[in-house]
Amino acid sequence: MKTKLNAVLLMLGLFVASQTVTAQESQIFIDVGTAQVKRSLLALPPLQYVGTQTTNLKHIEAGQNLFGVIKNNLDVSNFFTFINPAAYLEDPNKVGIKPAPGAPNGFSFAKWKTLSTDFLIRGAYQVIGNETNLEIYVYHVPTAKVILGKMYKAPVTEYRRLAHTFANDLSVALTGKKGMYFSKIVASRQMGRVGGNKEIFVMDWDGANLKQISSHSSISISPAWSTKGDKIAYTAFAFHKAQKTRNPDLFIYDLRTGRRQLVSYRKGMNSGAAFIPGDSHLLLTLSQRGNPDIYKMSASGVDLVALTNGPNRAMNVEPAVSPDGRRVAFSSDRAGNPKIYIMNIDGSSPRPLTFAGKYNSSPAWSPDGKTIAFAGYEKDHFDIFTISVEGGNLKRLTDARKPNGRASNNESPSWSPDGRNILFSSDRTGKTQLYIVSPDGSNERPITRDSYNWEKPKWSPFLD
Amino acid sequence: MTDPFSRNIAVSLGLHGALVLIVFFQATLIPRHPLDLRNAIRVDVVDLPRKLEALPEPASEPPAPTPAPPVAEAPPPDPTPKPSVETKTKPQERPDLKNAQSAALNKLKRLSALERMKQQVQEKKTAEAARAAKPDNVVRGNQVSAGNSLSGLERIDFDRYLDELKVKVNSNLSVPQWLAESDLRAQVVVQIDDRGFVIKRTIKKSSNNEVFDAKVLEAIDASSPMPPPPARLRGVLATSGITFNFPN
Repeated sequence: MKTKLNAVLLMLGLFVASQTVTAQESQIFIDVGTAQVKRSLLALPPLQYVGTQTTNLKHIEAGQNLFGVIKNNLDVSNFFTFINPAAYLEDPNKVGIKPAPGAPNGFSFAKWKTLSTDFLIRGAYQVIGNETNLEIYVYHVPTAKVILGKMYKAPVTEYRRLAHTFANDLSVALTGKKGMYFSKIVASRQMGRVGGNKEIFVMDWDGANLKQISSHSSISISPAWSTKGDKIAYTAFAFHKAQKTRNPDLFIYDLRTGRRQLVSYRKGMNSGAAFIPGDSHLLLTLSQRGNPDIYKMSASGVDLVALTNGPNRAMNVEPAVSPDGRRVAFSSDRAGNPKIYIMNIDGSSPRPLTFAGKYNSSPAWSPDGKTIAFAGYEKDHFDIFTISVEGGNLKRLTDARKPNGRASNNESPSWSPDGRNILFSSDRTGKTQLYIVSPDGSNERPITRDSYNWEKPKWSPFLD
Repeated sequence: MTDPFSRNIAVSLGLHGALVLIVFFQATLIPRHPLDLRNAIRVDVVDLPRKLEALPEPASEPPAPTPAPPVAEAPPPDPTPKPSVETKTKPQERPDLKNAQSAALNKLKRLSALERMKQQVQEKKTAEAARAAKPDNVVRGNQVSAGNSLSGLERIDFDRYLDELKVKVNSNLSVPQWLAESDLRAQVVVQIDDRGFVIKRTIKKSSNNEVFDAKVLEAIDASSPMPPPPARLRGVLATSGITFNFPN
């Protein structure tokens, strides 16, 4: 009896042990970690002209203009890599814009799949009178599904708006978020010779529709958008008749009404404006006490509150308000070389953010508030860097050289409202022009291509 | 007997004693300004980093058409992933209930199993409470649930194996840029045979995004064969599998 009982207990023990291992080891989890990110292969054949006037050059040109803006928009999104048209396995002009066999003479999904195409965009247009009609589809090739199909109508002259609308719709279809295609850029441009006057200009994000908004015949610099995108603050060396001298005063220009207001003309520097969300107040740098310090001020120029005061006669400049309006990044030389600091919006708890490099300036918050871009000086030039708000993940985004082989200066970063690009100025061609780069340092491209010098660009918030 | 030498020694000792007393009283009785470290400056002499090489992008020239997909060496995965439904195995009915000893054994087993389940529930609650108490209670990779009996060299082997799996699957995981900002997550249960080949992969928790789920399964398929599991885990991985968490 005792032997049998021992056998029972032994079996029971083995059973329990085996169950324990199985139950526990079946709960093995592995976190795979952050995925690599890659661009999707996009086939974008030219738009088909389906009108009757096949030899009408104006109609052909309208299609080419529309296609060019669409392609540029999609390229800047950083979502896609375009498939070289020479590799297409079917002539897009000889098949329709809808797939076979559903559509007669439709295109073949199989041929695009063979090219590992992720997305195919097929569009057709016609011009009726002064109006462009565009029918366009975006197909997800692996699943053979339409993810966007729309018909657009717009005056022929509004082709840019039409293209931006389509790109925006595609961004929403893919990500649920709109793109920056209707946003604008403001920057200071040197009007003539080096050392001459500078005026403030507004343009579309791609450099089109240039518009001058200041004409002080003096130095106008450091423009900044209001958070609603309807006003621009900037500093101009205005002439004070009583003192018979020029002073860097702060102006606010209303883009809707064209009205200009002088809001701060305190003795010394009145510059580096940055609106606080809501636009009732802004931060700026004043040097009325001798040293440049950061102040909070109402948009009408009153209710002045100092946020910094030295220490030790230190310079505190270039305030940048976080998207949630709770923190301020700025540059200061309080610890020696100028570095980036972050403090609360009331000026409390300043802490250094950057330690590397000799001179860090021009902080700019990413729209999600997680990353700060800045210009860092090393050896003999500035480059654009990003760093997380916690102080890690420091990355260099630019390292372009001039034609003579010397390093170029890349300065004044500003994020696009969708956070997919960073705008900056660079003298890599000899002239200081405006460029954009993706936050991973890829896809650098010029925005301006002229003979002027541009500086201190700022990207607008969403304007649509 | 006070020769000059002894007198000088006595004077010296007296003066030194007085000096010690002065220092002592100054240090203990006279208040001093504390050393203020708040304005201390951290100075790291470091250079700014170089620009990173861009990640390899798919070439704008597409790959040459391939007439047929390469034949996989591994057993083909289940073409229609079925939802993971846990099915309880029906206890085998034993018609020969001839001896009471067998019945008692079964009863003991059930009681023991019940006790074990209670214990596991308790352990799970304790572990969850401990995790919740931590500031960062995100489940990390390479973790075995609480109560694993592996230890010592076996544990090291086990962790090393999980690391190898993680690295392999991660290296095959890529998502499109337009999905990168979406907070998509999926869980896949993967069964692995003794040689490391994926026998079956099932989406346990979908991201509700068709493309992301497909990319996750592509990563698993591309990772097969995985490293052969340690002997101890072979049966378990082939039957119960491993759950891969895919954070995006």
